Amino acid sequence: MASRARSIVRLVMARLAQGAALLLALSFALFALLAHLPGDPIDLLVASNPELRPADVLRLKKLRGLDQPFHVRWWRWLVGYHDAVAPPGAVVLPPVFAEADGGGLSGQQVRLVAVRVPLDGVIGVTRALPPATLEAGALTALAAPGAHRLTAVVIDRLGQEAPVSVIVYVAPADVDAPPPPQPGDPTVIDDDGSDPQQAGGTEAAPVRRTNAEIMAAALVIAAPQDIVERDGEHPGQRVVVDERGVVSVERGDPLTDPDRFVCGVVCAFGDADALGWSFATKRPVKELLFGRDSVCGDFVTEPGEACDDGNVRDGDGCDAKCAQEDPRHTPIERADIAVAGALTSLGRIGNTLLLTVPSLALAMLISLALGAFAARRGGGVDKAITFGAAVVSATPAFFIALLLVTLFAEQLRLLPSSGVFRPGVHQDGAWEVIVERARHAVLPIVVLTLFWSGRFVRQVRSAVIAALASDAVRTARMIGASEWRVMRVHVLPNAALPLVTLVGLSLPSLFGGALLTETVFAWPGLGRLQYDAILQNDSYVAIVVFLLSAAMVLAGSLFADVAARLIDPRIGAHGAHHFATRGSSS
Amino acid sequence: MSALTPLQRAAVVVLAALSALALLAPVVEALLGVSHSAPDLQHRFADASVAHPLGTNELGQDLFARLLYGARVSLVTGALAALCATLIGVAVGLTAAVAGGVVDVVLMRLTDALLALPVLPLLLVASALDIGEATTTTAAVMRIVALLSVFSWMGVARLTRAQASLMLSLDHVMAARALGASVPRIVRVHVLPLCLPPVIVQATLEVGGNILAESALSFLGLGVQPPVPSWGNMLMSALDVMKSDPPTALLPGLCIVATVVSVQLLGDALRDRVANDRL
Repeated sequence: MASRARSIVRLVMARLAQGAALLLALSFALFALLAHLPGDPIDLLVASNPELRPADVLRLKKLRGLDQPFHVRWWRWLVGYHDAVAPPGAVVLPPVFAEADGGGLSGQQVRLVAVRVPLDGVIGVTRALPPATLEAGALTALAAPGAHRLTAVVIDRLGQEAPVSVIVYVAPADVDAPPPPQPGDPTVIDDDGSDPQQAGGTEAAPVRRTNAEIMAAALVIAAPQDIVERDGEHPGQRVVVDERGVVSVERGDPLTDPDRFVCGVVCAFGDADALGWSFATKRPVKELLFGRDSVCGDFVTEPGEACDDGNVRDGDGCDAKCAQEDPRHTPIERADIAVAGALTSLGRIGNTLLLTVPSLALAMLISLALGAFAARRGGGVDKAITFGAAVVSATPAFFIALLLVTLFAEQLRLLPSSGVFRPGVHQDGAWEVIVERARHAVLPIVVLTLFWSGRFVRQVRSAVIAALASDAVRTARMIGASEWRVMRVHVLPNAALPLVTLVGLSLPSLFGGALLTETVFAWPGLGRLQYDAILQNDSYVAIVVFLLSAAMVLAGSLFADVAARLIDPRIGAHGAHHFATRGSSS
Repeated sequence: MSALTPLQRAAVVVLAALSALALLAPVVEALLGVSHSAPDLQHRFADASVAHPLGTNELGQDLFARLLYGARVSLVTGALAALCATLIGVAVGLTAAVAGGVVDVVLMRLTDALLALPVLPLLLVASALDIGEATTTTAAVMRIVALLSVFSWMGVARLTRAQASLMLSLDHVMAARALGASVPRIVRVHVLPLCLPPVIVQATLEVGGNILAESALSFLGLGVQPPVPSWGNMLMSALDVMKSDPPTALLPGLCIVATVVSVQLLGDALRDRVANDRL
């Protein structure tokens, strides 16, 4: 028994080491391939934007690390690149907005304390999106103290346009100190001490401030070269970078001079995160995979955005926590909402497991039952089941999915055709979420179960036929064991073993079915993520998701091997030896 | 010689008919006076008629002609990829078995590593890395064939290695070696011919998998691109009309199923034959 446990431990250790080495080698190979393709994201950008100067292109490539050889990029991707966190300087770009007159800050004692852009390396602003929103947002921001969100379209440091929310903190007119940091906003910029005090001393004159100024204040470029290039345009500015990589730009007194303001921008550098950065979603790949907000559904909001009840959304941007903190709810209601929130945000991996694990279990049960039935009955039943399994395994998973969607979702309208749950369901409580998730999961799980059982039935059938012909079965029948006992004791365990082995071996190809199913059903799992990443040329995401699915497949086949050893102790190096000697002696 | 079962006979008929029609696709097209590629927006979703035996699709292209051209893509891709994969696999497996030692370990580790990777995600990543814009049928098919064969030779390689190692350990091969027969001669005379039957069975069974993989890739938009018809991309473009015009979506799917089942049945027949020969 001890030697068996030891052999299993040894197997697990060896396989884990092999798997890690394989994934490492694979990631290196993928980077090498990517490096030799023409057209990195910056090159694509240059092709689409004639405004960019060669100097900008060089700078962008340097910022992104694309000027490095691929092994350096691979290493940075693997471990994270922390040198980039604190650039030596930053600069305010000239505002691109047209001056919006009349939307200003006329006659009010308001102080703009800090502005935050929750995006890395913003280098410029192209427009506010939509202009009406900017106007309204700016007016709101200027009307009331507190945290307010504006929306703008900026150029990030990949040179791609992205809508960002700019959070503007407005201090009450009669308070000198900046407002306390909002919950969920760990990166609120602290003034470095001198300016606000200074401002406090000269706050008598009413200030007229336009949208353009506020927005321009938010748009800071985190590249030292720009200071050199554009310093002349903004004399007198001071750039402060703290240890967190928060860049603030100070330009004189924020209240008295309409041409001066204090602002800060968070520069959370993508390279600082291991696993890289998603170009398409402007977020770290890690967050995309393991963060919960990727599955908030349609009601994802920017972190820090104020909820209706005045709370700020949690760091994941889900407003479940908002409701949870609502003082109007009873503790039970809050717990219910918390569970509902957790159930709606299982993450990409959780969503994929939610499909694959039940369907794999179902497929194994069904194929065990059908295979044993076909093998025992023989004749027409056997032929029908075998042929049916052949047809099912010859049907592409996406075609099964299409047929089922057309029948059950579109014709009969019994089940939803795509997605994981309807938006906002988490507000109805945990039970509603479970029901909703189950309803959405039925069709994909049926597709996968069919797809996989089609492949397993044949194997079970031949294993059962072999087991039925064994001496053990003949002996058991001879001594009068019931047929059910024969099946249960001698046949099914012997058929289960090859099935477990087969499942382990065929996991690599089974994963494809999950990917196709997720794609057809718009199921936000790993497969769907990878498909989207590939279509959007989001190479880091594609690589990471591929490696992750490979890791899951490796883990699954290891699991199958361990299970096979537990079912049949003869398997394994030691066991094989015993088996051989026993076989020859008997 | 075991006779074919009725099902297997039906499979042979289906495959033969499909191959013949696919081969004659341009002739059929000309005879009917239709086009598989030219859009005819005046006759979209036409019902089956003499002019269009199966009606037309969402662009007014003749469905029957498209299915035939799609059959070309599927059959050629499936067979050619299986052939290429078999060549690679036999080469790798024979090298490993004959060379032994470090070469054997390295090659088989590589084989096992590739076998352990999820196939479809691998194909997706690889097809995204592939930058060539394949606009002609030949280029599109060759691209898929290359992709599929690079990632599907491992089964054949393992089979060949196991089979070849077995052959190399047989007494008459040892004797041939002792008599001074060269390695190429031993491989040619004693090893390869005996390895081939199971390898051919394996290759036949892989044809079905290749057809499925091609249809999945094309369905996802990363395989054969739409002006060139393939059953997979026909299904993809018919997604929106599944309800209003079922044949447009159903027929390509049924073609895939019929072909893959037939290939599978044929492979089974072949395997039975090989197994019987050995007994």
